[in-house]
Amino acid sequence: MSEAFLSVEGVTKRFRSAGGEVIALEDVSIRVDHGECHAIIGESGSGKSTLGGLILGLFEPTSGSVRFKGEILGAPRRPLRLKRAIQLIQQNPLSALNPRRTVGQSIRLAFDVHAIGEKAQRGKRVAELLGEVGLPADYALRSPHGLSGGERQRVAIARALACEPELIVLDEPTSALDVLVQARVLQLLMRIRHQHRLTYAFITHDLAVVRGIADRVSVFEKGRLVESGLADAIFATPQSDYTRRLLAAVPVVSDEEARFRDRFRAAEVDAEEAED
Amino acid sequence: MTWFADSPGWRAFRRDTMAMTGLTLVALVVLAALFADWIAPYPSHAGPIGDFGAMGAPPGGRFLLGTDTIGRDLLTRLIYAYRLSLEMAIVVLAIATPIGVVVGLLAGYLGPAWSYGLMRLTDVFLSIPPLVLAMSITGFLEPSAIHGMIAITAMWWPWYARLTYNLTRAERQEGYVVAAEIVGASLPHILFREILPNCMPSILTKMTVDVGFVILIASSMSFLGLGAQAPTPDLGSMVADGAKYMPDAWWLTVFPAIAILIVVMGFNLLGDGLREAADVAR
Amino acid sequence: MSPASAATVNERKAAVLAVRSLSVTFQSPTGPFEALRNVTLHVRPGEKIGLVGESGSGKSTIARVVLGLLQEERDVAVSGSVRLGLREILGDQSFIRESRGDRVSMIFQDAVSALNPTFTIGDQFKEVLRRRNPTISTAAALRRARVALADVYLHEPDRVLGSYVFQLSGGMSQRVMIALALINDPDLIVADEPGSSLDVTVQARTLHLMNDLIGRRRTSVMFISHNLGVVREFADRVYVIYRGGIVEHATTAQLFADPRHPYTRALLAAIPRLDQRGIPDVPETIPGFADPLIEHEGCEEPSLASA
Repeated sequence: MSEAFLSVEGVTKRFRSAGGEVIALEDVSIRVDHGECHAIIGESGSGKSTLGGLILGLFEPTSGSVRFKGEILGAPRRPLRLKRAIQLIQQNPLSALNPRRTVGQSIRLAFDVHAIGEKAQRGKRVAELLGEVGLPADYALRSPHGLSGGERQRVAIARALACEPELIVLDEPTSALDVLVQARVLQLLMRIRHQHRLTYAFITHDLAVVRGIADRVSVFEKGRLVESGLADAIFATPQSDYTRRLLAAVPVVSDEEARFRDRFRAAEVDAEEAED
Repeated sequence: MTWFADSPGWRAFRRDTMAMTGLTLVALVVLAALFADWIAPYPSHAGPIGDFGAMGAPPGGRFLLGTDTIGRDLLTRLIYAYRLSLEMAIVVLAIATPIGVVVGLLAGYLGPAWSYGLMRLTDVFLSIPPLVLAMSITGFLEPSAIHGMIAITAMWWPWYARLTYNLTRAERQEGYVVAAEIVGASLPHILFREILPNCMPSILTKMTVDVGFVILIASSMSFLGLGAQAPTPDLGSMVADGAKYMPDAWWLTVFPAIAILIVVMGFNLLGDGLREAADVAR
Repeated sequence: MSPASAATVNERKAAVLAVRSLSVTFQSPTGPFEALRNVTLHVRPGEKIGLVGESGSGKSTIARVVLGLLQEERDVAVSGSVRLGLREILGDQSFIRESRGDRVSMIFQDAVSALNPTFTIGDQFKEVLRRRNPTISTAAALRRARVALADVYLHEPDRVLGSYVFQLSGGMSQRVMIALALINDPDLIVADEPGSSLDVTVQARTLHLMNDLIGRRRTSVMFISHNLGVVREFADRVYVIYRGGIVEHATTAQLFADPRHPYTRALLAAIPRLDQRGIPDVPETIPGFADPLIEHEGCEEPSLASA
């Protein structure tokens, strides 16, 4: 079997809390191939963000391992090389940029940390990145203050790209944005993925977005992986009740979608009664 | 100080009568101290020698606020005392703030062991009554303005450590701090370039208020004879010396006391105004 | 036609809520900001209207005016007319102050922060019931509260009544808020993004529940949301609001089958579809968002003459 690009192998993560231990993830194994957009789906408490944190090295798994191209990803003192390869785009555009640093300074940080390019060329490279995410070059000198949510998110994308990463963890990157802006940012993310041959771990609860962009899907419920597979297959014939319940709950805007969704509603009613 | 130049904040500040009063008082005190040599009516009276022909003159006439027992102009000595007080406050804060801020940043950002150790150390200093700590330090050493400053500095930094610690704890959750970690930024970069600039408004506001409090503490110490020694003009020792001649030469005590009140109140009002203006700007 | 249409004619005689030419301007340190521009809308008895727009469109400002909350703030100019039943509330705060929580109630996005953290749920029911009937006894109030909680499928009413809000889950708090909003049988409920801070499955269940209870009582609802899908499932009639002005007004069926305003069309086109791959292409600039109001057939406001 070929070596996986990113593999999560039997990972359990427990957090200590005031009332004892919380199991955030339990015995989770998934595999992300190079170049795919892998959606990680779940509601609050599903463990989806914990999984993102493990991939990024924000904390260590309690047991099991996360491997990137065969190499075990630890948390503390992760080598710069691996930090550079795995980047993050966060949910909240308001806190993603330091209000006391200019847009250019935020993007440029990666060049200085990883010694990317000639010093003299870095300003030019910042301008190129801004252009790539659809912002004018003079934004480099601006403070994040006057920027809209969508613009901030574009800057955050440029900052991640500055590292020239291979894998990007996207943690609900558009859920705080208005519909029109969301569509534009999603388009941008898709374009960038193809141009830079990136792999995405796309954490979200929005199944319509998942249907739009994901190649493969892993569904989490209460720290457990309930289903993982090709997006086409899961949307056509979801195997678990939980996935069906999620699908059945999506508010939709057209009759075709409603018909598609309501296929899952009949099954859902029984499940809900059982849970209550 | 971009936060200060923000127009909504500055507008709110200007509308705030108390803040503007504070600013005016502070400006008067600072200007007087800076230009003491030109403003003071009898600059030579800042030293040991006064006008022996006018010993104990009451306020009015040639000496606006009167003279002391050896004929030195009180107004002149108050102006020079302001200079000394401000110098002391600036030196104390210039040393205490960086120490406290670095301790607070490290304790707030690093893991639980660091934060526990550093903050318990801070608590130890905070639990000693300030004047007692200062007195015991000057007790070891000789009473002098310099030793007084050392004493005050030793008791002042923990407040900045605690303030910065709390601010840093909040900052480290912010998306941009997480982003800098993930990009791979160094610890100094994260502490001093990402976190610290966002703590500065609160720290500067506290420093403003603290100028007044340091002057108050320094005056209390010199009132007890633990600060600046004669013949240096000092607000606290002037109150103490004058008290011997109450109530006949009341001006020797009352005017220095009012001078302390003015400077403490001025910096307090200014600090409060800055805090509110910063809130509005945000 | 059917008897139903005769009933509709009757209902038109007194709109529960009639907002006419409402404009709101905020004075901010950076200059005046026009939050609402000439907004006209109405809610008939038993009708659920949706008010849909993006963040900053002014949809929540409308709710705050209707609840009389905005008028109590400084630095805000409100003009036009807002009638609850036949009473004008602009310029006279006394009526809306009495009506809030009684004739007009509200359901907010985040129930956990909307409920008072320092009183038990039982105390909050008592407080709300006393707005209608100041002499109601504690025992009677708790009896009614228990029935109301059973209506929202909270199966341990006594435990809930003795709890503080932090002891309940988000979904439970949301149900408590719905029960509180309904207990005085109000004429109008203003629901501002209800459940949007909850998980999708919990939100769906909450909306389902709300729909069911409100439908049974025939309470009128002004439902505010940024989510067109949620509005489609909940509302009978929809107003689309863009930058402080209503741009399209239609029944729900009309709006989703035949959106006519460029802004509404753009919004609908931008939503990713559950049944197909790909993300819709949204140009950086779309003309026509500032076009005037488009009102679909049969949605006109009942005329004053018939009131």
